[in-house]
Amino acid sequence: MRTRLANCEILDPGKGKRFWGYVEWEDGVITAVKRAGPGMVEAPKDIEVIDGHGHLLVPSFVDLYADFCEPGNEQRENVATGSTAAAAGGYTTVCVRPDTSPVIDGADTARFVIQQGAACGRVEVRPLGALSKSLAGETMAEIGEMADAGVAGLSEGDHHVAKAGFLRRCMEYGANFHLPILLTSEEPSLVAGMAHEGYVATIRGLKASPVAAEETAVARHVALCELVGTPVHLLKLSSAAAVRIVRDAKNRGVPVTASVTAHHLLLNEESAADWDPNAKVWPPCRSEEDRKALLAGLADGTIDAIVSDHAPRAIEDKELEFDLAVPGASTLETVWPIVNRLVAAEEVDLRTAIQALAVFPRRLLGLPGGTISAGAPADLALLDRAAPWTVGPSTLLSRGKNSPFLGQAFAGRAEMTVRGGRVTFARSGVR
Amino acid sequence: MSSARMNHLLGLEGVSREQIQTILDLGREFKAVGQRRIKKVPTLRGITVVLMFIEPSTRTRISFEVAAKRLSAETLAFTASSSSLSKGETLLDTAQNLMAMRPDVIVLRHAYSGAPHFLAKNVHAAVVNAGDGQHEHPTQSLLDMFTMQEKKGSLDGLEVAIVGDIRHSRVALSNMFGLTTMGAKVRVAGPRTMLPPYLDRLGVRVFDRIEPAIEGADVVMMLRIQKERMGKDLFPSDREYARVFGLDETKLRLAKPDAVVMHPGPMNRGVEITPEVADGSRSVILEQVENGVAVRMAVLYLLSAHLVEGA
Amino acid sequence: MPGTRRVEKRILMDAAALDAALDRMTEALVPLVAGGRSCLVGIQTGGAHVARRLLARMAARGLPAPPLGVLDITLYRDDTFLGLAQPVVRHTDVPFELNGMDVILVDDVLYTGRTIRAALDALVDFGRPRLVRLAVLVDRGLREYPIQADVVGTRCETTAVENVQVEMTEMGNATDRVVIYERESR
Repeated sequence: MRTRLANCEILDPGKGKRFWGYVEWEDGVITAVKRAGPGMVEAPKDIEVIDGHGHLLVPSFVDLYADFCEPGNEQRENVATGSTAAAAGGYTTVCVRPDTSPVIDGADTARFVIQQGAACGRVEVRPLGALSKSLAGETMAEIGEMADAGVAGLSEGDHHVAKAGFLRRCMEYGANFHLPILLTSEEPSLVAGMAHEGYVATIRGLKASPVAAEETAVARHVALCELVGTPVHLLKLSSAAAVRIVRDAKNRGVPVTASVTAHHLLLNEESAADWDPNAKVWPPCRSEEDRKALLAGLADGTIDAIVSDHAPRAIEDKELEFDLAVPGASTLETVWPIVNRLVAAEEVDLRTAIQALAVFPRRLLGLPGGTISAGAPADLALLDRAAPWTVGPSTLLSRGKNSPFLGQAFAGRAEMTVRGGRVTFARSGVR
Repeated sequence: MSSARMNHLLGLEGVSREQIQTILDLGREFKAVGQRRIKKVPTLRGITVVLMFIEPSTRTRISFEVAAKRLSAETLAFTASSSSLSKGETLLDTAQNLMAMRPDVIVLRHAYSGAPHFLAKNVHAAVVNAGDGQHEHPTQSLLDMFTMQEKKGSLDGLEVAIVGDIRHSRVALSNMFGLTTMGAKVRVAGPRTMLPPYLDRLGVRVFDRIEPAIEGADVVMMLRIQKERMGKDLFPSDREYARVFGLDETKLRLAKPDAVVMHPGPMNRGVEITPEVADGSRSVILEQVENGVAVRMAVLYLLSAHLVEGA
Repeated sequence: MPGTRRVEKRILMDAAALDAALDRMTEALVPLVAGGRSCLVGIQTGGAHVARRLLARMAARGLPAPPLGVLDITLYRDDTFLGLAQPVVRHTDVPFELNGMDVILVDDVLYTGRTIRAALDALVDFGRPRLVRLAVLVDRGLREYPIQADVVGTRCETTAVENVQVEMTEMGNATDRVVIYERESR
């Protein structure tokens, strides 16, 4: 049966123009995209019609980096609850971190996570395979087998690979299987704690990490990328220095790409000023100048993607002193609200943001879609831009209630998510 | 009349000049109480003060305990190491357990920054920060300022040099906040490995060497070098530290002739301060200890007044 | 105090009457301090001023002036934290040995007796006097504790809504007088 999502404002980031109209799909594939005035919901009898209520319709989001905590830390989240939260955030594919327990460093664990995702079915869950066994940075993980099992890419998660030579070999070997390598960047010997080393850390006595910790690691990763010549994606940049290095590398033709989290685009070091354990994220939100540089990097294409870095945590991980709290924020359901706020504040361009959320991640992973046109998969997100709601334990579907925005009001959130023509999430009242 | 209303004393950041002066003035009266034959007044009868020390500090705990007892408050001491607490039990659990004892005031010493603020948000009691991580130690700074005012008359325009491990010192941070609020001119010096960034934004002058920092100073405050920091790439050896950054009689001659020497204790004699200076005529280190009880009485008095009023 | 204001109701004593009252008090005190082992302790702040006036008068008559102490009773009050405002702690200074002394406690106005009760508590923390007498400028009645003055400048009838205020030049007032104010609810 054919389904029509009518009465919505369609934004195809590849084409750029926004227009009123409807989208039809059948058997998971878009069959028609037509212009129609606002409020037009009438359709022939044989078509199932969903009223889009004038919301924004974009290609669904694809996340490059989230923690679903399964296996090993299901008290924080599991693949099913994480998938639900992702669908509620407008996502249809999520790449999950390898630093679970046990580590996703072999085909069996990778297959287990993929199967858990398939069983839930709300989003496609794609593990990132570890580069090294047990993330120890010593022995290469069975990358080829994991590639065949269906990992989306290779990553050492939030772990630092101490030996540059080992990292080089992993990058070279990974290239055989055409898997993207996604790296976080921090030189641990420069790190005293998880606040940004700046004025706020000084006056609030926070143990801190300087920009140079990220800067030196990003520079190393860029150098290795240039040496090996295979694509490397640098995850969740946090500083102006990192943006500068990536911009320079791209200008020289180094095949490096980069991402930022939504919360790093919105928050700065002040977020940790009252020792809120929920605001403890890694890397830290840095100075206002750094935040501005991240926005500029997104605008000029230095930064390609916005990632969630969804890191749900249990109460006992967070009801602690700042220094003892486990870092991470539950973010999948606040990415669009944050982006929407930044768009409203004219700090982010809407089309650029949708490209960073829906187009680039697909390109990196080699997934089809990212466009709203006939023949493309019916992977769609219907986004509200105006209705106020408040972040709280009851409004977040993730098991992790550890949002830095608890109690804060946002305007708009994802209203409906369609994956392969099937509605995987709909806020009550939409349907 | 009520010029220093306080719900908690979590730090000196943001505390007004008027409030600090009220505490210092009150401290003078309480110091007099401590010098009587009967050193006890009935003022805080029925008030329960919990001394929650999740990081050992015998000196500070005893000082608060004496202060509370001289005001006739009940005291309960709760001592634990944060390592034994952090296993499974959250700080909130600990706080809620404490609330079952219905304390009016909780004096918290904690190894991690911000812990008193976390407690203040989650318990119905006045919280006094008795030192949190590398953040603040407001009563130490108040007793330092009390001692300076006693010795020098006024804090306004006073040249105060703070020397040593500024980065890890809650005493230094509280004093930088308190002293600049009171109009004193603060200079700091220490190894760059122990200086945090953006000190200039706090309105203090930073020196690389101790000599220019103490030249012409009215007060020279030496900070304790934590033994556990030695051999961690912060400075080469305690021998070199003593020579380059330690205070001896020769260096002290650079300060004003009537300058006083302070130290929050406990001292590493022979490292940051020579025994000759520590025990010398310019040293007011033992008076600091006595004054500590007086200002802590003042703080407990002001906080308790609020509690009963608010009830 | 919020919600109330004070209006001047009547003048109990003008400068001349206050002067005469202090004279009478001095007269009455002379035999009490004759023993030589005596002292005056004024209660902060009004009582301390009255005590200083009394000492000045003794000196003017060529009598040997007993030592003066001042006592702040804030830390001994039974209502320290019941009032709306933060109680201000004033200076206490008893610069002599109290043991075995004849103490003349001096206050400006004697009312419920609670201040004197607190003052007696404070006093014994400094030592064990041989005896304690009480001298007040105004006894306004309405006692709540069994306390009476030995030397009184003047007595008057008052009600609980009234406030008896001793105003003297050394407190920053233009002239010496004792005024009865009345609290009015707004």
